[in-house]
Amino acid sequence: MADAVADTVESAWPSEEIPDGDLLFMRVHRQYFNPDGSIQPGVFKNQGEGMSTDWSKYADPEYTRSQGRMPEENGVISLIAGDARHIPGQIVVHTPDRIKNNRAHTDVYGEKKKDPEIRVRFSRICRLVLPLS
Amino acid sequence: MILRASSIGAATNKVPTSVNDPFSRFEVPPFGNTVYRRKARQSATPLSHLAFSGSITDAEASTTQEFPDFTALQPVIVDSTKLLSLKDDWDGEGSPGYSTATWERAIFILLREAEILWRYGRVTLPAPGIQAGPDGSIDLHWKLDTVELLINIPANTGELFTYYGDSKVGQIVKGSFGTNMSTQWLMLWLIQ
Repeated sequence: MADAVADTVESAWPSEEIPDGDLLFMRVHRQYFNPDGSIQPGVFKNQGEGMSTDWSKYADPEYTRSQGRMPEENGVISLIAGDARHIPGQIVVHTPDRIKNNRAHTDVYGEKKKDPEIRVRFSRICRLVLPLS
Repeated sequence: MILRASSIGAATNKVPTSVNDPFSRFEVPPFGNTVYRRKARQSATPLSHLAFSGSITDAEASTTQEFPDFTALQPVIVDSTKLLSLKDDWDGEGSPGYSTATWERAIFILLREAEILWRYGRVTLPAPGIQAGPDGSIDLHWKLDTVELLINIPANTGELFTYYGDSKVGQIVKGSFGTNMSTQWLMLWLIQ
């Protein structure tokens, strides 16, 4: 009984407010790297309702890379949460994923596909923090 | 007379002729012609059914240089065929693959605008990145010293192309257009 209660409590990770100065980490498949190492705008897209990232409070770049199904095919970039929020229509929400046991999971909601400006802006604020191995 | 890839090779770089090379049977727009038509073919090469009618003979083409210079575009187009090998879930994140139809639309637009620029000003269009876009779409991406322009070619043929560009002096261009609409002014803005 006690274990069951503990499991229930643990599964309800609260959604926390992410400070503007914190980082969001995101995997980038090698296809999105230009020969000069810069990142192509195509990587900035929603998967489902939002763009999937990890909050630096509960993750580091190595953790984010390890969460992918093909870690060796990915580098990791960072975005400053406040910079992401300054891009029109983009909302940063901490969305812990209990199924994948990822408390760091954070969605960046907002249209990206139909507005190239959004993707260009994301490409300008990202920073490579873990290159391809 | 149709100007063929072999004619281009005579005046620019030698055109690759490997089986997988999209230029191996590619017929390009001759100088002065803006009417594009599709030509049914049995060839398996991705661009082989895109054809353009014109009046320049092979002999003229090889001596007058009066046709677009695609030298800068050729390597990026050939390289972009790699997108076609990306199938569904190619990134392990569930992304869809890229269809030949979408790729052809991207190349069609690129070559059309290159041809128009050349025709009106003998200007060679800088090579864009031809890149993986979201949801099976393809991006044409120019990142020049003073200007950046991103054009998205959606996988859905019913959707308009969308674009965004800005310059270091504060100019912004943004909007959408259809396949049959020329973006000549956008290309002129790009090469300003």
